[in-house]
Amino acid sequence: MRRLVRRWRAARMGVVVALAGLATASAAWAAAPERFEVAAWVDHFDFSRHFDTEKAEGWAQILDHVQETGATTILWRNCGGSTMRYQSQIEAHHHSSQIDKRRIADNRPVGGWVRYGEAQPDIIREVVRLCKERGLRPGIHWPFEETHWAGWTIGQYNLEHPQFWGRNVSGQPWWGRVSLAYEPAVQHKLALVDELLARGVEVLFVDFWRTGAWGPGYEYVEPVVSAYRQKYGTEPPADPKDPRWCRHVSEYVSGFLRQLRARLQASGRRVELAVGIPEIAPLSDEPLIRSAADWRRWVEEGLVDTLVINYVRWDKKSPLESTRAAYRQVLDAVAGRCRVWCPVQQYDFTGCGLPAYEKATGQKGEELAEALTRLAHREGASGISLECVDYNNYRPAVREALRRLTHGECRQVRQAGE
Amino acid sequence: MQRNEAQSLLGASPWAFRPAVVWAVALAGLAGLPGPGVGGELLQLTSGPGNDTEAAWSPDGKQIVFQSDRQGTLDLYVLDVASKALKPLVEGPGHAAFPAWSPDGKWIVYSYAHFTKTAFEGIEEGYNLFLVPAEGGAPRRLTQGRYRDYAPVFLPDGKTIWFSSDRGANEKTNAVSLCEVAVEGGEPKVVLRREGKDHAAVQASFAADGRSFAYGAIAGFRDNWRIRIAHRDTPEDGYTLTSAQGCFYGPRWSPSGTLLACTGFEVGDAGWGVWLLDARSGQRTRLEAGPGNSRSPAWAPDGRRLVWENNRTGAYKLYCTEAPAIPSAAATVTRPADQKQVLHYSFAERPGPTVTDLSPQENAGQVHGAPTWLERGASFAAAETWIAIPKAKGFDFGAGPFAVRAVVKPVKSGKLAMIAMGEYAGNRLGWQLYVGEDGRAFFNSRTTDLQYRGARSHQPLPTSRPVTLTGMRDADGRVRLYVDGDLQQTTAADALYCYGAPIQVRIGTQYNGSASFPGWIYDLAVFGREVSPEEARGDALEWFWAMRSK
Repeated sequence: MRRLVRRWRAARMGVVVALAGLATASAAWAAAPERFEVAAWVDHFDFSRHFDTEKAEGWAQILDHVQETGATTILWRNCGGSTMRYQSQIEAHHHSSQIDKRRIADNRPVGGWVRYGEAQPDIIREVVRLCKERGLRPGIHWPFEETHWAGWTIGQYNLEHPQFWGRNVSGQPWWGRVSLAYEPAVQHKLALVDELLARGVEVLFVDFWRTGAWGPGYEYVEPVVSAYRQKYGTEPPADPKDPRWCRHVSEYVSGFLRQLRARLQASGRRVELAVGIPEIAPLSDEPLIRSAADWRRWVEEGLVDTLVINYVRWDKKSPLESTRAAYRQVLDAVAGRCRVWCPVQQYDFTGCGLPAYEKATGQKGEELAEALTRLAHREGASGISLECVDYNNYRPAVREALRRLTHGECRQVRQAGE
Repeated sequence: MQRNEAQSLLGASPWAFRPAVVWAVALAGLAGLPGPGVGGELLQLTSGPGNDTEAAWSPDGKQIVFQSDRQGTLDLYVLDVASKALKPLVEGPGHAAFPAWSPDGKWIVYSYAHFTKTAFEGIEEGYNLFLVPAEGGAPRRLTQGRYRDYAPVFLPDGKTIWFSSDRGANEKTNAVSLCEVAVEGGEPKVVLRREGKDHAAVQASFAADGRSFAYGAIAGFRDNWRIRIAHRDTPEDGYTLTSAQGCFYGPRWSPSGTLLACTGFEVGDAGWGVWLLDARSGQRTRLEAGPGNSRSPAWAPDGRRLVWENNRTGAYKLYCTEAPAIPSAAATVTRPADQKQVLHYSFAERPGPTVTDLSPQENAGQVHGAPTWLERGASFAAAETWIAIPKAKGFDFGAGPFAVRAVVKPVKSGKLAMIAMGEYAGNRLGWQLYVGEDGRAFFNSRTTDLQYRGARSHQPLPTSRPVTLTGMRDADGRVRLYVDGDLQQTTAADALYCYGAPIQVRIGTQYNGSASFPGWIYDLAVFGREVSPEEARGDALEWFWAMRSK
């Protein structure tokens, strides 16, 4: 009995020592300069013509390529539309379109035949392992219900639950969306988050409003419309970009984020929650009134750890200076309450990416990548985000410039007063 | 047959074929369930693990073939309806799906794929069609290549198989067409090509006479699945039975040829349901099948029972019930006199020098020249022929709504062809309903500063049958065009030209006699108000079938 007590005391002392050690390490971590992040959005599907993206060797090759940018955080795609690109047990996969008569299959010779849901080992689990092995932070880029305008992107939950489909202003239901006003649909999304947590991801980047993604135009569902009538005593406006409608719909997005935050906290692990805002304009309510993106409220409530500026609509007459001004405004609005990542965006579907800067300034891509990185760094951002690192789309000289800078003079986040 | 022999028939596919073994299946839970409503007693046909889906009844009504993932991948099974015994028909690695019986009950055609390489390593064979004896045996490959051939069906003659496929599709379009292949084999050919991104025609089902077929269609990513019917000799000229306000797919034609069963959803439903559509009237009703999704109905050969899949227990299982009678449409629809109708001409009878107006406005038309009168229609192909209504009454719409509905059969002329138009002082091209050079229909109004505001049809119009066109300017100033009641384009809300009394309304040509309409006009109605989608559809379905009869 005495021996047992001694053992218990020893064990208790061990726990105390371990906790003290953790606290010391934690204090040291807090005091250490913060690493300036290079967050690379990675869509393995986009590498499918270059590497075997159904095999672990292929995922390692992708990471090799992406790391040439100096990436410190990998935001790996978990989905294509609402189909999943790992061994999800609760959602369909890209190849599900081949045997479901409701889907229109992807016709491309390679991309149309990938079977990520059957890939061994599980893609996300393995990529998380590879990231940790390489000293990278493993994260997920979740383009929330991004549809890519293709029938093969419709997920199984959407297909099986037409009663939760979004509806447009004409009342027409559409399988591309399930409404955030329906609790079962929200719970399904959270169950997908559970799958990611179980695979060890450390960063979850929810990208609601990437082009083709979720928006207030399909939220004319009965619960949202009824609540609007009750609140304003009138029918909802026909224009889905109506400011009052967007403010109303934003309540449902904010509600979802609160539930998501709670889910992450309940996991007992520290998982960084990042949310992306396209065309962020802090001096106006533009993202809120056009997309139902009430990002300032999320910052105030502490819902997000990192605000990702997907892009800003800069002025062609003064590309870099107007970019700087926009970043400054966002950082001022955030006021240190969460981290901010600024874009060095190769994708140019917005007309605001590196190719557009090249065209407007006549400068080379690598010069602009350096300039934008320095700009983000000097203004006090916590890092840059790269949308998206595909095979060779960030040219070798651009990758080299980014890596050199973020492993050199921009290695750490600039402290106030520096 | 030895496994290796079976493999050799299937090329490189490692096929784990087994001789058919009848399983004495203990179908625990097989039970008659209380009938939830229309259709009487509900019988659960299958149980156990996995999803049992895509059922098809044998021609003699004694067996049902279906696909199941109860062993992981999709396999085919045959259920003996009387004994409830289940036997595997096709099993092993890979997916076997979408089984369909031959009319003589001897063969089952299905779609099958088994992948042993990654996409990067190269996929040589996609989903292809195979035939297997219904009693079990070695499958025979029918199609090959890296395609998705699925949802096959035998034609009633038993010699030809139609199926859905991405054959011939552009790499970027994701289109699915209807194709056919002879049972004896040979190169498949496309019979109904779908162009355009995410356009598809899936799961054809033939009426018993083999002359008409139904299929699920979708016209782009933002669309919903709809049921279309068409005649085999003019497959492109389909008629859309359901609107995009709901979602309907997977039609199966009843043995009697009057009803279609399909999977469907309308706003307010709790999920997917089995729907019955009357192919002649367009009326539809939902089968009350209890909780869960109900999908993929298939008729028994006697036309009195339906089998479908339902997931009330978590997984999809097969259920069966009696097919309910669909409420029949009233034989004669009595329509009260519409005081807002300002013109209605029927060309069923050859008129004299004037055409009688059936509307309250009594806008008699003056026949100019010698139009051709044939088959209940008028043609203005001959030079200097038209109908004019000088100072037509009731056409002073102001800035308010109005609609023009015409039943026409165009011909391919490559020229602009005017169906009807209104000429106004200061606005000679006031409103127009016409067929453009590309064969598409157009309807236009004007803005207050006379700018053109027009809506056009998504596709060139069918030329083998009458089609109902309805153009409308709504109260908000939006211009819309419907084809057979199916909304096509809608413009911005700025077509607010204020129409006073017209100089004339012209039928068959432009106001000055140009752009004559060389096709057939059967019926023309104009309303000084908005029309509902049902009114926009008019009697389009009757026209569709009437011309088939001829």
